Amino acid sequence: MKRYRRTALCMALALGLTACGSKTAEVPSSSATATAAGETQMGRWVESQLDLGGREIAGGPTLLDDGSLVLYAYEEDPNTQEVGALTKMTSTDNGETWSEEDTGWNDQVEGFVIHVWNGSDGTACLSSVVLGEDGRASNGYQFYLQKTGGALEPLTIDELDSVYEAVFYDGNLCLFHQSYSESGGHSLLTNYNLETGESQNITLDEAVSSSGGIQPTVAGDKLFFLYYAESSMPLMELHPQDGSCTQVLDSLSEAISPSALVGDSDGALYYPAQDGIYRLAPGGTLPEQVVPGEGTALSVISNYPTAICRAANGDFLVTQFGDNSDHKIYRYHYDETLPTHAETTLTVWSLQDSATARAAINLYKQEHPDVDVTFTVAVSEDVQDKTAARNDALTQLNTQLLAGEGPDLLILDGVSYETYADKGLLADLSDTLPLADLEKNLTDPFVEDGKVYAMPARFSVPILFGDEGTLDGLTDLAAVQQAVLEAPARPTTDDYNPLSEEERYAMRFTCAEDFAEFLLPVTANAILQENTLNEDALRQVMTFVESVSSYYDVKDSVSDNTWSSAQSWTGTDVITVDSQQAEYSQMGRARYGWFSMDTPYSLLTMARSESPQDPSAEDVPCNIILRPGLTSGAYAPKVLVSVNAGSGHLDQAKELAAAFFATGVQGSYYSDGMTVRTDCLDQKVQDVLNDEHASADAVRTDIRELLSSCTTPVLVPALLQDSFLEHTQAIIQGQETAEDAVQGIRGDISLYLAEQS
Amino acid sequence: MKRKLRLAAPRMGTVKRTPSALAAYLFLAPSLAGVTIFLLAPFVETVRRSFCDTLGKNFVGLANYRSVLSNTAFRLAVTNTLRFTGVCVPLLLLLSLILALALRTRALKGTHWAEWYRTTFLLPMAIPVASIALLWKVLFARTGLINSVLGTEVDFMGTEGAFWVLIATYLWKNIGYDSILWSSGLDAISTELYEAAAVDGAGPWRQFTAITLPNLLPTLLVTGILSLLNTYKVFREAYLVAGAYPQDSIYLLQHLFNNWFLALDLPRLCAAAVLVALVLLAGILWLLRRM
Amino acid sequence: MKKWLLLPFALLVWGPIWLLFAGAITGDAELQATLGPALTNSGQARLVLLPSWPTLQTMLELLLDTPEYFVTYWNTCAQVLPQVAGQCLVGAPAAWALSRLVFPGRRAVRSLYIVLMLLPFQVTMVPSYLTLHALGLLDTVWAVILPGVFSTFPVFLMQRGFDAVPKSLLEAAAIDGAGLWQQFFRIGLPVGLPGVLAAMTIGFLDAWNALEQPMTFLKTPSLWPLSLYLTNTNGSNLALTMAASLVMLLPAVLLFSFGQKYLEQGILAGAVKG
Repeated sequence: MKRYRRTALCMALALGLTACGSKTAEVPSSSATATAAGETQMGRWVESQLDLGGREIAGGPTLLDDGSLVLYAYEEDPNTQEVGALTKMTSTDNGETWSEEDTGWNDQVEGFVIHVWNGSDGTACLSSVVLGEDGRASNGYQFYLQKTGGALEPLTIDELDSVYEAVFYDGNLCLFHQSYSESGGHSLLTNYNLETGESQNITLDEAVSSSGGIQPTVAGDKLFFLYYAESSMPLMELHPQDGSCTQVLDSLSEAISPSALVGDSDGALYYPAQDGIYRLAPGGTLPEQVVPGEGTALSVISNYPTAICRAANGDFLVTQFGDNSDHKIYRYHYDETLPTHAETTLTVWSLQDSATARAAINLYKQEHPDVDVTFTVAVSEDVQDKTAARNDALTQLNTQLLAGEGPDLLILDGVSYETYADKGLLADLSDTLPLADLEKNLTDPFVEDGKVYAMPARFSVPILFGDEGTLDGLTDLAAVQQAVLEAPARPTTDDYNPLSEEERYAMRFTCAEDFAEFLLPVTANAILQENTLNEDALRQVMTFVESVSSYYDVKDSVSDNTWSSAQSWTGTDVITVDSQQAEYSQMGRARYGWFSMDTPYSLLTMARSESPQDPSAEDVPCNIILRPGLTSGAYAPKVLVSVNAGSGHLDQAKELAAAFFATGVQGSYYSDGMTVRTDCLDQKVQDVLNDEHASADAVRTDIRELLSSCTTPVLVPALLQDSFLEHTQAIIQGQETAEDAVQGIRGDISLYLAEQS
Repeated sequence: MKRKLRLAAPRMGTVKRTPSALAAYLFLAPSLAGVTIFLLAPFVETVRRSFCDTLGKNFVGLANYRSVLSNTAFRLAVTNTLRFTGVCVPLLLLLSLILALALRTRALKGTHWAEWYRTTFLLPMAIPVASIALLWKVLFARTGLINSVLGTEVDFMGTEGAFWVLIATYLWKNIGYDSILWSSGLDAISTELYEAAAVDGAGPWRQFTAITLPNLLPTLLVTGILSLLNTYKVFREAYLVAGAYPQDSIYLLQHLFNNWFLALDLPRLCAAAVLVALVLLAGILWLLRRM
Repeated sequence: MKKWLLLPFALLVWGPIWLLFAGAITGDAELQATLGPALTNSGQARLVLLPSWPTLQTMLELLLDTPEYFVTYWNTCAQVLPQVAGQCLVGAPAAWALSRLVFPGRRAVRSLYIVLMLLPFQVTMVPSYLTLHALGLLDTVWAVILPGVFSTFPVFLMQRGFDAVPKSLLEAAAIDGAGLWQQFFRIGLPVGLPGVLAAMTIGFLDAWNALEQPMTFLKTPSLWPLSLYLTNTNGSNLALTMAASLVMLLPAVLLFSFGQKYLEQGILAGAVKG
């Protein structure tokens, strides 16, 4: 009996193994390009950017039946907000060249055309808007229809003003609009028959419409759309006859944006992802990569794709929204005259993804098309145990470096760069970096004896700000502690209503992470000096934690720590405001706000209003200071660029490093810190101070001077961070006193320090 | 007593040594070649690097060795490793011997129960490391299952308890295998010896000490070495659960090696490794000589 | 009565395995609620012997929906089986030589093999990397297979097995005209087979669970074996990890079932049975 049982199990195992073998044939290799890798050596996808002449996009790019591409754009004067003519751009060579003509529509409509949707036969549906003085739509949106060869006619259907999407499908114009009622949002669909002019209103599926509006696309003879579910992006098919939806895939892997989806006449779907453009075969379940995203704008994480279009020859046009609050259209064209692989390949290594690094790589690749650059992110976002993953990644890196090879360029964020520099593993960059163009106060700490082994390409500044005049006494950590304890205590629950001056508490602290974010960037250097632990400094810090956390009853604090909002206007950087800042600026509840400044545009959202409920109230003047701690002039260097001394392509690697500091990269914002170039920083501050949309007048500190006073780079070692968080949490829970925590941290770090000695 | 068992086959006359030696080398050749390339050469390189600086180019003499021997972390790691090995290996040998004997008692010997027990105790060895780490976390965390079942709040991993958890895991994993080794050793002892001793009037305990133990010495050597080897494997579980800087009592030599490597301190890593190898070599030679 | 004395200890083994099994058939949400607190250090984990809502979904998800799992499983097989076969082919003759043949330098080679066996991986990591790189083997399966094939541990184990072959038998064969190879092949191997099989079993287990070598020498994730895959998915989907562990456990258990007989006869250092 046993023998039979064992034989059966064995056979099952063998079957399982053969199944594995056959399955591997189906599994797509995610890293290889789909283009003929081994068969021919020619053919490569090339990215280029469409020159819109600074215009805003109103519609498209869309592929028409005759194979041409159309795109609508208009000029908007950023100062007067006047809108020029609506230009139609047409390309008959798949996006390579474009011809322009004035549609003349802005003369025929009320206000100006804000959005155009095209059917594949060229029929256009437009929406126009009249802007009032406050910049908002004053009269709702008007809709028009122009059939090919016909005239522009108004479209009158009930409740059209909330239409956000229109799709031409099956002889109908499907208009999607949102209606808001007490029970939530409903998506409604109006099917307007283009022939007969009859319209039919249908309510869409509840679960889907609550996601805030869908943007379907036609593929073959079906309508598909994506939407954000909790942790995935399901692909659905829409049946416009009755408004029902069926799920096709419970998650379209790697898809980023519900609006960036396009189909072709065979029913295949295409969509952009961070590592390229993918194709889902009709009826298929596993998408395959058709355009590799490495080294293109797709890979820059701060770019958000909003639309994609496929040309008749298989080229792609992807519209992306960058952190400079602008839309750019990128064309991806398969060029068979170029060799698939360049002669030289440079590798860039980083623990986490870095948008600036990707942008620098893209810039370098455009200037040196004969060099391929691959970017390796060592620790991926979705790994649970980050410490172990980080250690494993560093072990791999070190093995390669010590063996005399490894990546050519290293982004040393999150790693102790001094270790690598001291052991002679990094090359001297002083001859290739444009040091004279960079902010001296930021670069000097990284220059040793005239040699540069690592240089930050971005930096952020920990700051503290509040009403003008109230920051004068806050010169060090003790003073801040006193200020916190003298003001009223922060209530343990979140609230959004302003408080009167006497009721206002000092600043927001609700959890261990808040303390870490506030304290470590300005005290880490004082705590860990030259491989020894300064217990007094640590004691000061932990006493701060203890006294504030007990005063505020942080243990009982119930708070939404993920609160954060992003704002931007045309031409500005995307400004992120989170609760530590908002409790002062937006809500008027705290006396001081604090955060790490990533862009000077934050000045525009810093001042608080005298009366937050009243939009016309004046802003209260405020001051900003470098956050007081145990180190003066503290700032956080980011995107630390260094070159492997053992690199096989040293000169090219050094040039790539220099690309990080070129104006093309430094002048743009990628949400990962401020520029370190003097000219770009000057320009950015000027733009902020002259910005039309909002005013920085209430900020009474000279921001340029403040930024120039950053002299001490502070890098927080991962070990200190982890230990600090652990013991801070224990203090908050009342399990440890400040002294216990000091000893605890000392114990955690002592092994590390003992090893270094 | 041993000698009685050997068949008294006379040693053949001196067979030609040279072809035998050549043949032996041929048997050994593939293994030796591979070992030289993949194991010996790297080790020699390690020895070389222990006398050089980080990039392995400049000779620095005994500086690394001096630095290693005076390093407090190294001393702690060595103490811990010796303490750990000194406790767990004898403990394991003892417990697995008891288990092997238990499985041979009249009640169990040769029964299905015995076989079932054997399989059971062998299973822990097959469980993958990551799973053991996961189970460990689930069981021994402060908020883990053991604390919840017993109603206590012991922080196993943050105190000296970690040492005992590590020992328990080691024992749990290896007891089955070691008991099998003991079993085979016990099987090898001829029953005739026991019968003769019984006839002579020796009780069970006397039989044990006079017959069993001495005949188990070769098995002891093998089992001992294998158990020692298995103490290394405990590192990966400890690392996955407690990280690179665990509680002091379970900070082992491998943790130090791992961290020195992360800090690019290759010269000292190599020096320490050579020291460890020297100690092991001395131990092995001494043991082999005694056998 | 005596039979049940060992039962509590057996429970110590089956308990954790049952946990894995129960975890594999529990839904992820329930698992996060009962066992999750242990991993996040908040709340208290609860011991639940059987899930309230047992589901096969995780197992199905693992076996049908996770292509990475199959790829890594296949990689593990592709890396382990050649290793074990190689260890046998290369190690058996060497073990025979060290055990039954006499030649100058025997003791030296024996000691060398033992010392090399006892060196932890980090010690020779960088030089091994250099060697493999010089041979152009990095980032291929051979980087894991070849060093494993020449590991001296199986040689040590097989030696013990061959020690059981009585010299008298060999000498008798020699008189009959058998050459050294014949002695090895016809007599040594059959008699010493338990030792060889024991070495192969342990070799299989070691290779199946190997972590450091694949991590250091294999850069492309598509070459990673199961042991690395398990380490990297730890925690994000608890049920999936447990299911994966269970499936990874299976071949080893099967091997034990089969090889146990030989394992027991295994390594003998001693004399002929009476």
